Amino acid sequence: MISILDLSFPGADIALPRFSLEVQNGEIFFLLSSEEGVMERLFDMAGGFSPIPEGAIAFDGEEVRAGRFPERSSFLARIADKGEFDTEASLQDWLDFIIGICALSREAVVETLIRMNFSERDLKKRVRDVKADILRMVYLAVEFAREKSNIVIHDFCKGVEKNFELKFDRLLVRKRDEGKAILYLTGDIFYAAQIADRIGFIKRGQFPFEATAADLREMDIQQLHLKFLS
Amino acid sequence: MYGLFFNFLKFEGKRVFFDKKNLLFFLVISSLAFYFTFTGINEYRWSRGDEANFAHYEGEKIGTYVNYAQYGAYGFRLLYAPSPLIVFFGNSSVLQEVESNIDVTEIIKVSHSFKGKNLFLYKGYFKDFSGIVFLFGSLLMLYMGMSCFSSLAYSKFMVRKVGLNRFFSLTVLCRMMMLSLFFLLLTGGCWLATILAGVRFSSAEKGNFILFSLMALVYLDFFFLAGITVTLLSRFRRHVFIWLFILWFAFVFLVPEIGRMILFNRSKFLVSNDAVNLEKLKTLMTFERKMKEQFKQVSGDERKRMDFVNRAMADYINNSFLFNETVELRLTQEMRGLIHLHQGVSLAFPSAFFSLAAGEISSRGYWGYLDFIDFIMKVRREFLKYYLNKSYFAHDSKVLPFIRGERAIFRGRSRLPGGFWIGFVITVMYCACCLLVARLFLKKLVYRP
Repeated sequence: MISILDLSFPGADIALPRFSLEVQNGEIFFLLSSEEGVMERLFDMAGGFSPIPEGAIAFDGEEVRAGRFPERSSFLARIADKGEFDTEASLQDWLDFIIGICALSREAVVETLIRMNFSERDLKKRVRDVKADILRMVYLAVEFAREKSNIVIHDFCKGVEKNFELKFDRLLVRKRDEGKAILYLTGDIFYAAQIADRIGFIKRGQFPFEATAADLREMDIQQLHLKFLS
Repeated sequence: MYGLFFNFLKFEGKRVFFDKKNLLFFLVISSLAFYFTFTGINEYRWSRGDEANFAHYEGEKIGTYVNYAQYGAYGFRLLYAPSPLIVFFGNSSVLQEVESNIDVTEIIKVSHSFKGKNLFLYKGYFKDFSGIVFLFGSLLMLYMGMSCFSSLAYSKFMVRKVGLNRFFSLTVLCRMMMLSLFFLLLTGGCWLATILAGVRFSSAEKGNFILFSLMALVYLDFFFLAGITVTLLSRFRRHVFIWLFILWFAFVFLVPEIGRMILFNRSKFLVSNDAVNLEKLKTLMTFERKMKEQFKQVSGDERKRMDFVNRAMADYINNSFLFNETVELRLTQEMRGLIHLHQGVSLAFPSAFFSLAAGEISSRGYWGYLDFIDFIMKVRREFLKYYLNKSYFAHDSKVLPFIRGERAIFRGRSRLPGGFWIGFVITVMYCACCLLVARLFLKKLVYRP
């Protein structure tokens, strides 16, 4: 379970209202905002990369502290450009390296790759020569190699191909069905409408609105987008 | 921990040596380094051949003199022969091919001839092994430093996996080790090629070259760490290329040039060569006038005349010549002071220190020049005594050479510049500073306040 309790942070450019949130096990919660800075900061705070000024974030009751990475959650950051992971090495070398240093199970990594229809031929290519979605698959496989009960995602599907998105959705739903709590930070309500169990909006330092998937089906997504995300 | 280290080492090895772009850089640098080592070997062999010719022609030349007066007026030449290490430093040294003409005139001549084939000898700056390391090695290391941590997203991903300290220290250490390995292999390969080509080095020269290689590694590591630091300071922005190029240009071209300008400006306060020569000429002419006046008063007796000449020569050696030598030594002393100043300034900057060390280790540095000047003065003093003795007192039927064969060749000595270890420690401290700043900034970037 992911708990956000009375979390707030002041700031000139980015600010977050005091708000609380609980993502239950077996639930996908989409926190939506058009303010990129807020989402990024929230993701960093959850991952232990940024201090939490007020309130708390906890995974299965274990509170997050800056500088200490939560053991009970996986994190999927947005990969804006495959160049960000260009380590001059081939995908195979990079994967071997990560498996080696993190002592991951190769079978667990391969399992996710198979689920994503990963082609083995791509492993021989250099990161700069593969499509960004291929790199995302490997990244995903590494992050999901260790079973953790919570997953925090920051805009992972932004700019991906539809094919990748569908496979990723299937994987996410599967993780939810396995009982994992999933918090997805994004600004894309149309994507959220596809798989979210619950959604919440943040706009101009306020947390004005929260809805379940059932409510969402009856609402005009376009209207919601115009109202809260533009 | 060992497992982690070897994983990082293996991965960095693949990053460094299995990337086509990097391989191309390595290939270009290696080709240039080997090419200039081979041209260095050729030029060294050529200069050895020239030394033999030089000694032969000098012997022949003196044999053609009719009397000692000609010997004194035309004199003979001394050649400055560099250490075999010049193979690696041909164009990074201070001096070029120099020689000195020793005669009985008051002027000390140290010159480089552009006549004939000598005109086509000069290759221009950096065209030797050390120049390639200095110029392209530093540029490559700067680039390698820039690409060390791919991006902030990658750094965050890795920090989450292994922690900041391990990620930073192991990545930097392993990448540095791999790049150092390349430069060590390159240096070793060039050294081996030189040995196979038949160039022999003394143990002191071997020691100096090993220390030079060590210094070059630290110099290159400085650029590697500077590349990392600037990339982190610029927060992985794309325009970091510009900053890195400016940094490289400043360190490789501007800093040594500033050092040279300081030296040049200070050298303007040195007494001019013409003033020194004129002062010596005046002393000589005063002596000649005095002797001429006194000689008129000597009666026609041959023995008395010879006694007078004997006394006059002794007087010249003990007074005028000694005075002229003092004038010359004063200038040398002032030059020595300037060289000390230049050395002190150069130690403070890695690139200037590299240039200074390359010059001195090549044996054609400032101190090599001063050694040559000392040698010239010593030979001149002895030659003058020899000349006076032979001119006025000996009755040889033919002119006998004062100096023969190898003795006309001054062998330059490869040496470490003064304060070598101070310069080395200063460069290491630059590296430590870069490392510290890079570590602090990576932390600042990854952990947002």
